[in-house]
Amino acid sequence: MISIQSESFSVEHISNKIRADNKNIGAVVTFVGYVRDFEKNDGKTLSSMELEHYPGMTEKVLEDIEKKALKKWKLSAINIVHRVGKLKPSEPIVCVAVASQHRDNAFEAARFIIDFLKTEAPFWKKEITSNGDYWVEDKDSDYQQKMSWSRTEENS
Amino acid sequence: MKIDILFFASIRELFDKEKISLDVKDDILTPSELLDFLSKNHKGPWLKLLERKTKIRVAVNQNIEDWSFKIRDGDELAFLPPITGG
Repeated sequence: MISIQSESFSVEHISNKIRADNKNIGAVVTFVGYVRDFEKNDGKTLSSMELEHYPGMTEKVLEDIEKKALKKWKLSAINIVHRVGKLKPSEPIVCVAVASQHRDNAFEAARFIIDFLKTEAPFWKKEITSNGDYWVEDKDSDYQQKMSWSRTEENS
Repeated sequence: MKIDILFFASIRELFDKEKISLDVKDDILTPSELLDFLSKNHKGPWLKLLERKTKIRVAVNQNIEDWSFKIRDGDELAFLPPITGG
């Protein structure tokens, strides 16, 4: 299940909802990403973050990532929640919850989903800071993490 | 042919618009050719977009495609700045 929403979410609620639908679940792995303020020596503070996305395409990309994960691992359920709009430091941005009978599949699939979400799903972050407003740059490390999945596939 | 172009994030700010509809000459076949044409003829933000081409991905009808993808009448195009979700 995929939700793009401006309101916040409760991880416990997401996890409970997944388990309520299926008594055969033995593990739920949840990843939550939060709005992070700068470090002290960065010399600036974050007042808020603005998140926008490409409606329609975002859902399509996330559904595709979900399908790939369901094909790769035996999973009971996937729930991806991503917020848009204006968020304050330490507020949650994204939740990836993956349920399976045994923990290994849920752990691996959760990692896979967030790695692909970060590089494929059309979301953009703008930081509103004490030094001005900036669009966040993409990170090479995110792409390398995504690429590590294709190396895994080649080796398996 | 008629092409809709959507702008997001830093590119939306660059154009100060969310969307434009263009009548494109039929000899323009790909997003790459379209960007070349627009930057040559309309300059302004199009030139700036061309400068950023290596950092930008193109979506046609909400799918990421190559710059050499063949575009058709009625397509929805978007030049996507670097993705930073999650």
